[in-house]
Amino acid sequence: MPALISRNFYVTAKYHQKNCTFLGFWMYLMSDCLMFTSLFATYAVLGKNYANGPTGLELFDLQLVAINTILLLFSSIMYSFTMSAIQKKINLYKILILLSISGLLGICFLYLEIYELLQLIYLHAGPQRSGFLTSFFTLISTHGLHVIFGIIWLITLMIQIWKYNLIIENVRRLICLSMFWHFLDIIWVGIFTFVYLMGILK
Amino acid sequence: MGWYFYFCLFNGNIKVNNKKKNSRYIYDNDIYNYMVYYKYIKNYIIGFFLAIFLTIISFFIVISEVIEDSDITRLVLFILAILQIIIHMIYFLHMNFKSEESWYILSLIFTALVICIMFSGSLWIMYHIHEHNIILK
Repeated sequence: MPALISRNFYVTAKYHQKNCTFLGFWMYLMSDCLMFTSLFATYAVLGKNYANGPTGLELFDLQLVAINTILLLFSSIMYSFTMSAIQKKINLYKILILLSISGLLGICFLYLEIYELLQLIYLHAGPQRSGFLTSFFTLISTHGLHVIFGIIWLITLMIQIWKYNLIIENVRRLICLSMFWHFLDIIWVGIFTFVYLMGILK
Repeated sequence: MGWYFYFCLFNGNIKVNNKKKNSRYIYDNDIYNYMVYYKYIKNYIIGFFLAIFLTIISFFIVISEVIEDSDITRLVLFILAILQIIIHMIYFLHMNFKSEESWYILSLIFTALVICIMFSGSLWIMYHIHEHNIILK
């Protein structure tokens, strides 16, 4: 019934919010946050069940955690610098270099995290040792998995930008990845406070 | 009727497509409006140094054992973590109270509420189960 179109209905409101992709991605991040909350709650419940095994005080290496924290924070800030470089219309190659620095810092973080977990397994403090270690490994490796997928995403985007330049779609993806990357940093703040620092307290 | 719904739902999109048919490059698009948030490097540097500062304080408290009571240390660490998360939200994730973006803050508040319920609820329940087990033994 095309005749209906010509009628002037009183419809002036916008049906779509502007940039609603970001809102959708934000919703995804919030649901991810709920998943991490359940893992944190599991750790809070099981965190003292050592089963006569090693405790957090014996296992955690605070130096490594501090280095990890700084690495992730630097990676985050480098990503933000990339975004402002895009906003300021800076040369594409500089943007790619900034992105790769951010990715490399993420890979360093991942390397240290895997190194730490492997060392724990080597010390016979693997996830099957006690309830405390099971919940610890689940929480840390879920965060690590998120970082791995973030890095894969970042490399894919770098290839996309290199091939197709900064078109709308690529910038939209870059903004989504920036939200994801900062979100991972926020989760890490929770981990180093609740797991490592509070685990070392007597 | 179908036409009417089609018209209502996709009216905005059709307009945008007609207007900006050839603008594939980011600087001509609506997304560029969102990029305004990334304009101010100063904000990032402020947020970065605040985050570093709070991290150093929380590590220092634990390593040097300034506060003897461990419960108070836990409370201080908790407050520092919450502060740092808020700083990350404001300076890195561009949270604000603009009415156009109220959905972001609304979903965040809802998530925070659910997190509080889930976390405190599971701790409460498990604590009581633990206590009852001890009595039974």
